[in-house]
Formats: sequence, structure tokens, C-alpha cells
Amino acid sequence: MESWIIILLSLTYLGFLFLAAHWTEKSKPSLGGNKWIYALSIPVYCTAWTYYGSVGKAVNDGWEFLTIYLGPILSIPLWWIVLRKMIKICEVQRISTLPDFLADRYGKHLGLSIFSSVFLVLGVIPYISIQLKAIVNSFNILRDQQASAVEGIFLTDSSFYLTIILALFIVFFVFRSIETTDKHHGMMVAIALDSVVKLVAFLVVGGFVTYFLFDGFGDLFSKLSPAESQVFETFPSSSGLEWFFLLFMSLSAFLLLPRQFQVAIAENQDENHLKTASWLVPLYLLLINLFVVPIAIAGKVSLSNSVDPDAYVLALPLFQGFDGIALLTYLGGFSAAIGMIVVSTIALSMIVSNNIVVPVLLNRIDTSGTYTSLPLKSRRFAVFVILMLAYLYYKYVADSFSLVSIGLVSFAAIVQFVPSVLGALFWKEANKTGALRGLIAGFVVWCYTLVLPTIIKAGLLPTSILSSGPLGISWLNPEAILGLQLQPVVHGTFWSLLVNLVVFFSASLLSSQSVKEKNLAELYHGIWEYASDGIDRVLWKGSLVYQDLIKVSNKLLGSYRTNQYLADYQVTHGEPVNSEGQVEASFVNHMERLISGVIGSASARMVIASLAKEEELEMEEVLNILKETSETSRLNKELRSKSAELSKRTGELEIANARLKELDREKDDFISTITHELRTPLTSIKAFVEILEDGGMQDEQEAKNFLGIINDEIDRMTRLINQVLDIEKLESGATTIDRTHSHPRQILEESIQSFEHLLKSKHIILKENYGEAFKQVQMPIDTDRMKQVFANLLSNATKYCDPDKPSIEVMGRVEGGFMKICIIDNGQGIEEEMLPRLFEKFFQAKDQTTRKPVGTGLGLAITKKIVELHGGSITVESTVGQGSNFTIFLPLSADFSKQKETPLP
Amino acid sequence: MNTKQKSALMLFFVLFLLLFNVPFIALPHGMLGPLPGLMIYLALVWLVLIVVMGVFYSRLK
Repeated sequence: MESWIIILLSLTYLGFLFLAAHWTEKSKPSLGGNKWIYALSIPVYCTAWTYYGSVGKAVNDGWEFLTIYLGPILSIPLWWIVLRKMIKICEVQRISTLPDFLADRYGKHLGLSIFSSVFLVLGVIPYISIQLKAIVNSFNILRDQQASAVEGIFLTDSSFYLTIILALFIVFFVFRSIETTDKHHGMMVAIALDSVVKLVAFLVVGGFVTYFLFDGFGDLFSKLSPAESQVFETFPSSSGLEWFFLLFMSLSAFLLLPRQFQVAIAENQDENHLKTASWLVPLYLLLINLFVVPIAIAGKVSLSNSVDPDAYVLALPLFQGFDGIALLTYLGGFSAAIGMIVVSTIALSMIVSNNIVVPVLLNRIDTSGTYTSLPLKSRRFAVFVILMLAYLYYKYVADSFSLVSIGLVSFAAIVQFVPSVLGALFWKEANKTGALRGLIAGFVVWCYTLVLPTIIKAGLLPTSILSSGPLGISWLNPEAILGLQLQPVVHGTFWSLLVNLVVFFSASLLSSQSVKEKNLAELYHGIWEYASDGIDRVLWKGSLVYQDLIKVSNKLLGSYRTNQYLADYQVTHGEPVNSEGQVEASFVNHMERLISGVIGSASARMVIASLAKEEELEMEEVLNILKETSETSRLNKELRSKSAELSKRTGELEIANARLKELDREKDDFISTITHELRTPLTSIKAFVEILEDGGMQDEQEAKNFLGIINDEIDRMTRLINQVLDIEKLESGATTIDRTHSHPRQILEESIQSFEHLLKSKHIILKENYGEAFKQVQMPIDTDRMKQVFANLLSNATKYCDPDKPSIEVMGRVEGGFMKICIIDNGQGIEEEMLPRLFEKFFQAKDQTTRKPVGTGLGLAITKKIVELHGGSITVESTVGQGSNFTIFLPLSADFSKQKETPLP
Repeated sequence: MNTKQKSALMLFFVLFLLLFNVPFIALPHGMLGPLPGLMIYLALVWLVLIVVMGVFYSRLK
């Protein structure tokens, strides 16, 4: 393939990322804080190693390549405990890099800060170098259909120009703000896009190989010989320890690699974004690994042995003549490498600038100048240095090794930070002596067991060191210390971590913390308690001249930012200088934290120490502030509990208030209905009395009729008043039920007898239908009250039955411990929507628009109340045009309290 | 986050750590139909982790 096509494609892709990042910064910075962008930026973890190296590893070692992705997904349950805590600490303390994190926790120790920075840079540069190697190799394969010999160096080497282009991109595009804690929105969007591109490209080439070149997964596995197939079918039990160590290494690297720290911790804008990442990241990792084994098998069975397994992904479509797919595959690998190089270089340059360059320069430069551009310049300088070191490593060392083996050496370096980071988060007694000595010990063993062998294998040192040990001492063999035979990278990690851990714990236990360190340990440990005012929990004691502090701040932050911060401080804390002319300790802490955001915490500490006459903190002062914090925390907890109790009470009061309003409304309705019911007959009576008084009534019969009406109206009023009094007594509980053992059938028949005259006069046919058990049953019952119930229901039935063919049916049964009595009429029936309100007081009276009232409207309410006082219930079923059925259920036993809970039939 | 949730997360960590290590990972061997049993096992546990983490994290406050 023509070189210009590949170069044009690469430059176009870089331009696309530039534009996406630029557009985000200029037009939509909020996009950088989006949860999807955050979740998709975390797979920056998947580099050219994933893209090309996983296939190479799978060809040789089967499923072992997966440990690099299983480790990260195993870390997900720990995110909410570990990662979230680190995010909060970094937010409160304005930290953006791992060395700053460690230095800040361990007393802002400059030595620890510098050493951890150097270690990280040395550990990660080989990793960057393999990305350069992957880009150059894939370019050469695409151009020449084979991996070419290493080109010249610098100006005669294409990878040198690539390195320069990347450095320029980072220098002129990414580093615009002096504050390291400012979010890089554009970079985050570009990295998220990068993740999508590499995933899509890998899925396309994987799908192409699996389903186009072959007939799916089954077909590919069937192509392997039994011996070749064995590596994918079984897990070799002998490699359990190595498998476990690889998982641990990748888990640690996933959390602590500089680029992971950058995107997952420093760029996080909302800890809730971890929720989206918790499923999207493992899903992404699953998808990007889906076709690794199929591609490995396809390469093994269809490509010659001369093709490097790391190149199978690209070689398969290319050698089959599918140039388009091959170009897309190249683009995916290019994007995987570019994302890693950009983010790692940004993170490392901040580390180098904050922890090495700035501290050195601050000691040497003239303090009368202005240095707002110093951090920015030193970061830009660091970018070139890091990329050049990676380039040189690639040219002289990396070319002799596979992608995976170099990557794992970097992982082993990152693992050395695990004890000091976990100690910082969860062990209050961990101190700077332990952290620094542990890291140094780990570094020395890491260099000896992992870096030294790569130098030897690159031909820079005699190979006898590996074969017979240094100076012929075999138990000191860098790849088999004390004769321990393990995979080299697992061997190196095991020894370096073991030594690191032992030194870290023993040194921490044998040395003591400074008061300052104790103070910071408490802050880190209890960050959730102190998150709101964390900075005010850091103690500082001493004196300095206010103008000096402002002058330094102006120099490093610029006068605009300094004034802005000063104004903010005055709003939240008041004046920075107290009445005695002393600068407030909290102001010094605030300024130190702000300067930390620009030059790192150790450098910021150095700046403040150079300005102030600092005094040793007393342990008592630290204890007092911790006690105060603990007291505040307790009071806050108490306040929250009281507030919750108050909310509960308020809720209860609201319910009670709503009930009172309802009762008040019911009372108003009741009074309104009663007065209406009383006024109607009174008006009628008054009218007839006036006629009789006027003497205009000549006809005696007519006068008698009038007096009869007056009498009826008085009866109606009396009945109404009696019923009102009756229901009031029933509802208030003033009426008691006087039960005696009686036959319900007898009561029912007596009630019917009282209606005989009315039934005859209206020609109503009465059907009585009683079961045998009902005829015999006896039960405790208030005879008079039950007669009232039957009378009410029979009265209603006679009123509302069909005027043409009136009939009423009375049924009595005993069913499942209950007596059931039905009174059924064949009248017009009741509309369904009215049924639920039928037993309300005055319902009938309120319903005058649809039916003329006959009676007081209290009968059914009284009936229901009496039945309930007997522990029973009353229901109604009605069909318009067919009639209504009122059914009473009464428990046969008198133990009503129990029977109320029994579901009625 | 309350202690119960923290304990549950630690439990998930230990559980998946066990499932992705020996002896469990050494249990599936041979072919299961056209595919290696180990591949199916790894994919299944991976999918379970995605679902469990997605559901659990969405309920965290």
C-alpha cells in the first residue's frame, strides 16, 4: 500500500481528534463532564498492547492474555470504596497526580514526591515506547506487507516525526491552563471518541475474520489440532499462582497507572459517574476481547510462521487482499496507541513538572520575577523530554521484545505503589519513612529482576548474568532469586512487592509520624467527615508577612486569580489577617492548596516554608482539632437524626390535619343537610298553619287534610331527629349492643310481619327462601337493633321495587361460620358509580338531582353501623333495570374481635 | 454508603476473585459443543459481573 495513503489517514485521524477536542473546549466544555464520556475515557487502558499484543499472547499462552482485563473488572466492586475516596481526596486537596497524592498524605515530603515521580516516569516510558513501536510496525506491515528492519534514527526515521507531531499536539493544544486541577474537557472527549474507534475497528476485523474468512467460532476451533486446541480447552493448574499475580498486577495498574489516575480520578467531575462506568467499562472490555482468540487461531492456521503473532490482526485482512479492512484495522491500532501516548504524556509531564522541575527551579530563580508561565513551560518541556526518552527506549531496547513483555514490566513498576497508596487511604499509622523506604526497596528489586534482564537480552550486558547469576552466584540470578522458578514478570513482581511490603510495614511501625503527617493522615482517613471543610482541618502554625504571600501567589497564579481567590476567601472565612496583624492559619492553608494546584503539593509546601517562620505543631493541638471534628461530626449526626424525627412528626401532623379538614367538611355537610331536611317540612307546616290562621279554610275535609299533612311533616321531622340522634350515639359509641341468643329467622319473620299491610297494599310478592341451617341457627344478637336493620332494608325494598310487577325475595343461609341474609328487590337498580357511596350519611339527600328523596337518607348508614357493631358487614350488588341485592354477613360466634380479621365469604 | 453496602461490595470482590481463579477456573475443561467450556465459563461469569455491578451501583446513594 502506498505510504502517502497511510500517512494521510493517520494525519486525518489526528486532525479529527484535534477538531473534536477543540470544538469541545470552545463550544461545549460541559460535554467533558458527561458520564458517558467519563466511562468511555477509562478504556484508554486498552492500548496497542490490547489491539495487537493480546493476539500475540493468546497464540502462545492461550487465555492468559485475559488476566490483563480480568484484573480491571475485578477492581469494579472496589471502586466505590477505593476510587471514590481517592476522587474525594483529590478534589478536596486539589491533587491531580499520584506522586502529589502520596507526597501530600505523607507530610508533603519533597523526597518522596521526587522519588515516586522518577520511579513512575522510568516505569511508564517503556510502555509509551511500545505504542510507538506498534504504530511504526503496523505502518511498515501495511506498506511493505512485512515488518521492515529498523530504520535510521532521528531525521531519517519516520517514528521520530510522529513523536514530534504528538509532542506538538500536547504542548499547544492540551496545556493551556496553568492549573493542573483544571479539567481537560477536550482531551476527555477526544479519548472517548478514540475508545469508540478502536472498539469498532477491532469488532469489524474480528467479525470479518471469524465470519467472513471462516465460518464462525466453532469452525475456527475445529481447525486446531488436538495439541493446539489443548491450550484453549483447559486451564493449566500449574499456572494458578502466575494467573493470580497477573490479575493482581493488572488490577493495580488499572487504578494507578498515570493515565488511569488522570482520566478516572483527576478528570472526574461527579463521583456518581462511576455508576455508569461500573457496567460500561467491563462491557467494553468484554467486547474488545471477544475476537482475540478467533483472530489468534485464524492467524495460526492460515499465516506462515514467519509472521509475528503481534501482527496477525493486521496481516489477516491485508494478506487476503482486503485493503479497506486492513486500513480500518490500522486506524484502530493507531487510535489505541495515540490515546495512550497522549494521556500518559500529559500525566507524566505534570508529574515531572510539579515534582522535579519546579522544585529545582524555585530554589535557583530570582524571587523578584513573575513566574506564572513557569509551571506551563516546565510541563511543555517535560512533554518533549518524556516523548524523546520513549523514542530512544523504543529504538534501543523495545524493538527486541514483544509488546506484552514490555507492558508487564511497566505494570510491575506500578504495583510498587499499592502498599503506600492503600496505607495512605486506610492505615493511619503509615508514615513517610515507610512509604519512601518501601518504594525505594521495591524499585531496586524491580530494576534488578525486570529491567536488568531486558538490558541483558537487548545485548547491552553479558548474558552470563542470566545463565549463571552475577559473579557466578546462581541464587542471585535476576530471573530466579533463591532458585524460585516463575514466569520472569511474575517472579520480579513477587520479589519486589514482597520486599516493598516488608520494608513499608516495618519502617512505618519502627518510626513515628510528625504531627503534620498525623494531621494529614486523619484527613485522608476520615475524608467523608471532613469533605465539607477539609482544608480547615489542616493545621498550620507560624507567622508570615501577608504581602509576601500575596506577592508569591501573584507570581505563580497571576494577580487576577489571586484576587479572585482572595475575594472568595473573604466571603467564606472573613479577613485573612486578624486583629493582631497575623495572617490567619486557614488563609495560609488555602493559599498553599491553591499553589498546590499549579506546582504540586510538595513544591507548594516548599514555597510556604520559605516565606514563613513556621513553628512545630503540638500534638495537643492536633488532638484538639480532631476532637473538635469528631464533636462536630457527632453533632451533625444528632442534628440529622433530629431533623429526620421532625420530618416524620411533620408528616404525621399533615395527615392529622388533613383528617381534621375532612371531618370539618363532613360536619359542614351534615349541618347543611340537616338544616335543609328540617327546613323543608317546617316551611310546609308554616304555610298550612298560616292558611288555617287566616280562617280562609271553609271546607272541613280540606282542613283535615291540611292538618294531616302537618302531622306527617312533624312525624318526618321527629323521625329525622331520632335517626340523627341514633347515628350520633352509634358513631360515638354511646350505644351498646345488647346481645342475647336468638333465632335470626324469627327476628326476620317478625320484621316481615310488620310490613305485611304495606306489602298487601302495594301488591308486592314476597318470596322467603331459608336454608335448613338458617332455620335452626341461634346466635348472640341484639334483637331490637337487628329488627331495625331488617326493617330499613325491607322498607327500602318496598319503596324501590318494580311498580308494575313488584316482588321482594328474602334469603337466609349459614355459610362458613357466617349467617348470610339477602334482601332482593326487582326495582330500577342503582348505578354502579353510586354504589360505593350508598352507605354514606345523607347520600340519598345529596342525590336529589337524580332521584326524589324518600326518607331521611340515614337508614343505610345506621344499618351499616349496627351490622358492624355485630362484627359483620353489609354489601350491595345492583344492576340497573333488574334490581338490587343487599346482603348481610354476621358471624355466628360472639368473639367479634377475632372474626373481624377473618375474611368474609 | 452504609456498612451493609460496603460489606456487599467486598463480598462481590471476593466472590468474583474466587470465580476467576483456581480452583473454579480449572473446573471447566474440554469442548462444550463447538466451543471450549473454559471460554463459555469466562464469558458467563464476566456477564454476571456486568449485570450485578450495574444493578448494585445504580442503587448506591
